[in-house]
Amino acid sequence: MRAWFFSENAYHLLPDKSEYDSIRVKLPNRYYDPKIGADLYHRFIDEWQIAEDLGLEIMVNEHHQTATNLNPSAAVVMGALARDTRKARLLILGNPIANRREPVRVAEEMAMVDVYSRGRLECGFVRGVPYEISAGNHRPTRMQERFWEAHDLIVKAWISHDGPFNWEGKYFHHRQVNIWPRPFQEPHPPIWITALSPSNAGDVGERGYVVACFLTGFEGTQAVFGAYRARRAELKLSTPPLDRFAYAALVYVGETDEEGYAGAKKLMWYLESNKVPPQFTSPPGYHPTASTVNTMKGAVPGIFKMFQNPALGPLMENGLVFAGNPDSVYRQIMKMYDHVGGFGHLLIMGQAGFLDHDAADHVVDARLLDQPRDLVAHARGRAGQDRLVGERGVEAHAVLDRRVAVIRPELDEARRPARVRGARDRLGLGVGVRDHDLAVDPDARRRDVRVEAPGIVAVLRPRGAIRLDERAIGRRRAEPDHVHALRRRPLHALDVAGGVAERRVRLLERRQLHGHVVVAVVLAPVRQPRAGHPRQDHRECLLEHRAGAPGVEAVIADLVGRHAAAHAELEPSAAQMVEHADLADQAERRVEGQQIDERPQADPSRALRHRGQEHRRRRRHAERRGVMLGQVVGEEAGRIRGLEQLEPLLVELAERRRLPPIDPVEQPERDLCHEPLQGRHCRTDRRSISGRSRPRPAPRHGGGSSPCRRRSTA
Amino acid sequence: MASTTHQAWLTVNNVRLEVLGRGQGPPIVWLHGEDGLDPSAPFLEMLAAHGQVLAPSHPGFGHSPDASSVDTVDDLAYLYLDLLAEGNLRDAVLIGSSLGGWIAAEMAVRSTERLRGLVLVAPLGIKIGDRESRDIPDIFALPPAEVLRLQYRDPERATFDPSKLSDDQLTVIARNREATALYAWEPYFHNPKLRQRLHRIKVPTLLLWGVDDRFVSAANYGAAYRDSIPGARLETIDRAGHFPHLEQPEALVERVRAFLGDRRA
Repeated sequence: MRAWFFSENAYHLLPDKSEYDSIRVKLPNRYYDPKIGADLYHRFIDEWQIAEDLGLEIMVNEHHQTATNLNPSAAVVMGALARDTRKARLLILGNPIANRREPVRVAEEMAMVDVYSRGRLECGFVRGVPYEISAGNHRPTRMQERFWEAHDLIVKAWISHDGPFNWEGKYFHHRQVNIWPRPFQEPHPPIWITALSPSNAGDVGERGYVVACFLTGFEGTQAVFGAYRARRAELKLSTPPLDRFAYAALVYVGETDEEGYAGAKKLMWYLESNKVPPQFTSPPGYHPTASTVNTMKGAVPGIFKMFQNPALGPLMENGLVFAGNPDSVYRQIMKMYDHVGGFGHLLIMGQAGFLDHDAADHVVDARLLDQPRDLVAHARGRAGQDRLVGERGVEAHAVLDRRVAVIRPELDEARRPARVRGARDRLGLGVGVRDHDLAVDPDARRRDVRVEAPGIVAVLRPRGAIRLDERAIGRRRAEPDHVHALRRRPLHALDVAGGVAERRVRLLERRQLHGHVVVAVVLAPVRQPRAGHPRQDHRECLLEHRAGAPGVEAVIADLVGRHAAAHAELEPSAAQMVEHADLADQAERRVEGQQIDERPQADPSRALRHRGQEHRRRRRHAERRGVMLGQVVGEEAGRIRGLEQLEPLLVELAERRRLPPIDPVEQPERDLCHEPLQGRHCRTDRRSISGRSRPRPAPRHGGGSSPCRRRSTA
Repeated sequence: MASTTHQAWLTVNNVRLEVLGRGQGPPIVWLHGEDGLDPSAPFLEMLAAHGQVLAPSHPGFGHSPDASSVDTVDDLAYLYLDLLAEGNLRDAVLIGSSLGGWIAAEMAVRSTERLRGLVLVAPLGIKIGDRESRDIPDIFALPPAEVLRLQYRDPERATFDPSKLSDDQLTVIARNREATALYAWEPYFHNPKLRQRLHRIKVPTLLLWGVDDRFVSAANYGAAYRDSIPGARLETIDRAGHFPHLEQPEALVERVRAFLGDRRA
């Protein structure tokens, strides 16, 4: 399951609720202070970046004329995020295309963000909430028709690459559609569509898009997902994998249940403050006539009653809020998961309104410092789904069974020798779950993708297995991410009574789309057969660890953002290198200075200095400065010559004396004053001296190209 | 006079219409407004005393189904011109209220061939103010109670208790609102070109307006309408709001009768 951090960018500093009759459409913007608003924008973008660091994906939406959401253009804020993030998927859910006058413009904006982010965009289309009708001045009737025409036009604009095409539809007219740029992803970014009722879920299902439910609770969500699945079954289309389903809830994870509840209550600001009069919640034609009639009769569906008077208890009971400690949130999520037949995306409304109204200075605020902790808690809730082994007991066991069941077909496939083609000792198993790999026509996208079970694509990649000695760490590869299981010995080696604490199995997981490989070295399990549940074979051991290890590891790795310590198997640690270096013997060794943001790590090739990672916040490489020596007057270096030709003599003397050119200075090419023979009147080319005595490594910054170049003040 | 009532379905250009027919004599076509058509409204009976009343429900209103080919007042105007032609109605008196008045005016600027006279009851459809003045209050953005206050002299009479109405009646109310949004959402209750075309109306035209119409006023909107139609008369009805046919049916029918009488003479 992928978790998406979703923030509505609310402007919460409103007068008391009794002072306005609608937070949407007509609340005067004199209540909005742009200076505070600017701080809030930066804060929210920071929060999204933190979410990315924690391994969450990013979700943005747009609303208009409302204090609950200050993103009137999702494309604009996503443009900023595309630049300020590097690895998270970027979901816009979504573009209210029934309300947009120019679908072609939407196609352009989305293609631009997709290219800009190098193919990280997930493009959602929504009908738009009823309150948006007034803002867009689009009539609320026949919206579905307009929606799908806009959708068709956008998709065609994305996939047409041979010059302009014509569009003279019922609602939109363009005679020359030919967008630049075209999307980065082929054939186009994955499409998501929200459905709050089963009525249009079938249409989404027919097209194989991701269907998203917002705060629809157990029954509503089940109905929507069921309608999606039913339509596909009816049309004899493939069974939709889990990543076609998304559920959005308010989520707050605390260390304790109480802390979680307290946080969730702040989140509920979004529901509590959503004061909107009926003329905006029910524009004529927006809702089906029958439901309008029911509303007139006063029959409010239970779920809407909860919105009218939100209280944490009922909201949690109905699956609109997941809150508590990590374990209980995990349970709540899985309860929903089981009830609705599974879903592959959890959309976390994590910043709807968790702003502290009591603190006077909460805008530029200390809470921002608390934010990472809150988000860690979110991440922990997410990771909790993968955390299986250990203290959970029976419950963990049930989850494990489920996961084994899910992965088993893939394992079975892997055991067929015919498919392995002789690479029996290096078997790579890919579990690629990039959902656009699964879209409408998997065959056309990837011929080696086979849908094995909901949510799983089993890809047999005998040649793609990562060999440990290939130093997989840190390699950026263009191919999709995989979980790789490697074995160097037959798997039954694990099946030793009593177990051995020895490395037998290595799992390499490249975290999905997160730009780096997470390595989890799993010790062969000490077998502790549970009563009544003897493991049938080694595979369950493997699966257990495979299922259990990456989640936790991934969070840690994401938090650090790099491999903080060298991997003992794969890289010598910096300490080890120092320890083994014979500095006395190799007198010339220069010890590189460390940058402030640099951790001790092996980086022998030097090609990936700083590992190619920019400073995440400042968007630039840490600057490397030369050593500044105080009061050094820049001298013009010149050919060695002097009055009465004394210098050559000195050089020869120097050679004869074979002075050891130990030079522990960081920037030798800039340092003029360290040669022992430096005379007061000499203009010395140090390189010429040392160069004759013993070859030196070339300076890193190109200073060696011209020994006599003009120098400025060092 | 014994009047015969029938509710019939007509199909015009593949568009199915629920049509209320009453009485006998020269044709009187009633085009309802955004309030829809209430078959039990007394004014229909009174009108039927003076001719054969034909009152269609516009597509989407009442029980008339939605028609995918009809989504503008322009479409409605041609639809009803076709209806007049197919029924071979001649010398018809065309009466329209509010939204229906707008439809009637759109018909009349296209053709008055089959019309004897035109009665517009607080018609909408023209733009008189500048771009920042809203001539017609935004019924879709106002609280429902405020809309009633603007449209009725006595809002009490228009409020209803949903629990006392059948599902069918509630459905009609909901559909009327939806269809109003379909036809009048944008441009809002008007056609920017209509005013400059009103001079084409060559048949006698009577404008009727409730004195207490707080929705669009006779003095302002009504006068602009009158001035745009050659020879048109503007008369007001006391103790009536935007829908005089509901609040003062006798007075309304009396004005229509007088208008018809004038013409007959």
